[in-house]
Amino acid sequence: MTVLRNQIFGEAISRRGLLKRSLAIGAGAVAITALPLNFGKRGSHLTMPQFSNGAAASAMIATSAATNAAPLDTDLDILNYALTLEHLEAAAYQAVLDAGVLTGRELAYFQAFGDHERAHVDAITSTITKLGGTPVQAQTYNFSSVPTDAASIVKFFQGVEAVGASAYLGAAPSIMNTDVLAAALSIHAVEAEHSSALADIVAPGTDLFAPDAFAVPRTPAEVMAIVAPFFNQASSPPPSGAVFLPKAPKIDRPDSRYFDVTGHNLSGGFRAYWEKFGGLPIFGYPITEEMQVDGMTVQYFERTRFEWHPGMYPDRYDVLLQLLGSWSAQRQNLMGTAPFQSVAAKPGSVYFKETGHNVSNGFLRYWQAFGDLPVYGYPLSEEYVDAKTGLTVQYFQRQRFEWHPGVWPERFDVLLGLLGDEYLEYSRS
Amino acid sequence: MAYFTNDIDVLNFALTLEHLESAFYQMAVSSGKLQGNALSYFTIIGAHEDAHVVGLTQAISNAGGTPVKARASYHFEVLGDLTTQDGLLKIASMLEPIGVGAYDGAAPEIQNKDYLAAAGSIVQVEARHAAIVRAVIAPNANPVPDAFAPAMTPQQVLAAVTPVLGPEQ
Repeated sequence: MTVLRNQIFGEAISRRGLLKRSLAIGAGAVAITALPLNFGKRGSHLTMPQFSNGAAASAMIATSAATNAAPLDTDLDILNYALTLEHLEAAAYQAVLDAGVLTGRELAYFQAFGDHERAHVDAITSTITKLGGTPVQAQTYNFSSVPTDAASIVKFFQGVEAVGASAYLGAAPSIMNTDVLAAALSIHAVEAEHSSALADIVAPGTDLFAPDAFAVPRTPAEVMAIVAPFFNQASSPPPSGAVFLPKAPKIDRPDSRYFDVTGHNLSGGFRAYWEKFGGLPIFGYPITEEMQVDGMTVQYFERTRFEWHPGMYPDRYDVLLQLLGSWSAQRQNLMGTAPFQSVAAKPGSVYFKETGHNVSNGFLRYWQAFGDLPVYGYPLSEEYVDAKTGLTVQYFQRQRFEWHPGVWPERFDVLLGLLGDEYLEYSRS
Repeated sequence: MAYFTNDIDVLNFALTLEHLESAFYQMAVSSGKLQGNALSYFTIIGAHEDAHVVGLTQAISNAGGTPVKARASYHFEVLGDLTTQDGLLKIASMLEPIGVGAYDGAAPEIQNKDYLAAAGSIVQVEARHAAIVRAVIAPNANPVPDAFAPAMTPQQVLAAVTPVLGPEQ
């Protein structure tokens, strides 16, 4: 891929490079000191899409120093990132139109905008192919979080389009090829226009159509965190993006594995443990390098923290998983609440007398199939519906199980909480 | 073939347009001809254009350039009817896409990534302006007619805009 990229882009890159040099000669060097602080500054009027999945909303964090530079390496990466979003949008519009809920003005707008997204898919797919890349395919999406009444649907899409516009804005400055940049800007404007037009339906006469004088960009990590709920996690789950940390350089050793997505290495015993006891779906991507905390060697992942305890757990590479389920429950002051009170054994469940709780149905099957006691620990609560998120959850010592119907049938529709992200963010605050 | 000599030139080109738009919206909002959502939207849009003027002026000054000033006056009457809400809306619906086309046409020549990011953050807002104005003019028609927003060359932009520019200060 690298060789092909240089062949395709060698000419384009040097053309842009030549452009730089000739312009500099024309003007003499101009010292660029500072930009006004309000260019692209995060304002207070951001309109965020409202998702019924509370976990997705909490995974989305406004980082303070987010720059406009996308951590994507090549124009092809950026184009495929855009194509990922366009496929999603095209499918979302189609799903809503198929539902047949919209009428009148809303229907007319959605038909037109859905056509646009399909045109974007076609154009970007064709561009990627011409440049020698492999365009990403459309997926099967999970639209269970999309509302079902017309007014809420319009509001939802107004937000989704705003996210799309911010994605293009965030990626544009990293594009090298000027033709690709021109295409991206042309689509960027249209996504913004979609969002604005829908705002006239959602909140006419207000500034919802353009809350900021200077539109705010988002990084790919931020965008992918927002759209994560739409992607079924049967394939690799997209990174949470909740903790935006600088990428580390790749370690060039045979025992070391590098994850481009979050920019971190996984090596030695931590790598062996990760690969043997669950990998990506259980632990998530590494979000830090190995580091020293309180005299201990640890590494944070999206869903957990690994700790190295030399000599203590030889069957498990001396790795212990932090009790993040306990930590999260305590932090939310849940421990004294009803679902966390010890109960008697329930028929049809597996009962853990050590903590006085039952595990049953999908959560039981998941617990048994995908890690059991060493990975998840004992249950700390019964299964219950979290009032904040509306999700059916159950806390274990090391993790939180969440039931997301239809999202991951191969794993009993159970997703794990992004507790590694939460814990790292907490420990850095 | 590059049109602009350097990034300062691009920013001043943008500033020329922002001065024009800022003046237009100030005139329209104070004309007394607007009401309802048209008045609300024009007020919001005008505040944005004013902010763009300030931002671009500062950026150019900070870069050691000389920011262009607003013209002493503008000939908005060559764009259409200034005496009715419909007329003002129609003019706005012409001006905003010119802004989008101008930024998108010039942006590929910008060398400094921060300026490109800034231009992107402005052009998105101009696009939002364009759509909301069209939505007000014809709510039941599609306010986003193109799947791909058309870029304009600087020559095309100046051809459209020069007749409106009054004397320099």
